[in-house]
Amino acid sequence: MFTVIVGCSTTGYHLAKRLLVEGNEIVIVEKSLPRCQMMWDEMGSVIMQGDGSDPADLRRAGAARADTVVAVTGRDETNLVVCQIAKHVFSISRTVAAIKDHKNQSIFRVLGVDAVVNVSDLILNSLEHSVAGNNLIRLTSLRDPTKSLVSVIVPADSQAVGKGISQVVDKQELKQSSVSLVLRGNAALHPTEELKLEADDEVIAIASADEEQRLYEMLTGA
Amino acid sequence: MHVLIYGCTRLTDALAPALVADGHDVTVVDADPDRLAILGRQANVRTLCASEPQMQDYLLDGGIENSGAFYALTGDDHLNVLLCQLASHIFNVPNVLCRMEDPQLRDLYGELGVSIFDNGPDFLGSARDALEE
Repeated sequence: MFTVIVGCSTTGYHLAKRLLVEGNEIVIVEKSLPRCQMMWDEMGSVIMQGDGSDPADLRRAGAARADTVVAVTGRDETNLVVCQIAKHVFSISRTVAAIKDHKNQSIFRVLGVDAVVNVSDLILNSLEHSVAGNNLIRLTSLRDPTKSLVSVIVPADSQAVGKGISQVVDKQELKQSSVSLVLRGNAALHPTEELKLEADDEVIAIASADEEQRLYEMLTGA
Repeated sequence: MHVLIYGCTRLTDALAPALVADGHDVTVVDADPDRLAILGRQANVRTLCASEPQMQDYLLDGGIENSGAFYALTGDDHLNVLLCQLASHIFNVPNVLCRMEDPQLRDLYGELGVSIFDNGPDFLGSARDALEE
């Protein structure tokens, strides 16, 4: 796989090193000459001095034959421009952007950036994971910005214990959400009609933003 | 009509009073309080001092949801184009103009449907015409 990384920040640098170890071909485009000089000693010609938001520089980096373009410049607006150039000038099938402001996530998706990574969301998710048990945790956002993959742990005192999914989750009310999987111990169980929920089951569901709170209440309500 | 302008630059200094004179209700958002104060003394516009991390909050505070037009006039092409695409695709502002200095980006975004602010000698006339449409 050939990846063009725009921005040799700490993120860009470590990403590049790991991709190289896995045997991938990469080029890093970095605007700042002093930063490039620092990196040339270690990484050599995979670092190209140039402006990743300039189509001509991206072309010099080989974007025309790249499989993936990753924009990690540290500025949301520049990452968006890089991904839009990659999509529309070079027809890159997979573009990835890091963003800082989570509110920018929806516009990046609307404009066709394939994967949007948001550091504050990642930290938030791991914080929520570390809070004991009873929480709705957003595991990942999906291509449709209104939906996400969520996890809810069924508490022992929930009215859902001993009932089937269809009795607990009212499909009439939750039209845009659905339970995908139930994790029990080491087993991943399909939410079939026969399956009865037990305390400590982890329910994995696709939930829309307006319905996730209601889904949480249905699964955990006493 | 309510017009929201992001970026308090020399273009804004000329455009904002002209739009006010045409009877529009104008809000200008910028990160620089000094520039806003100067503009606020010269023209009857509402000014909002924004800090970058809350960009979208300032768009909302600036009334983007009820704006008939949005202009991104900062000196930063990338910021302008992000703001304009937010205005068009998220906030559905009917009339959006983007200042863009880089000729290559100008062509690319023109193809992608972003209307480019004409900052030539007759920029006032062009901006007014765009509002008429």
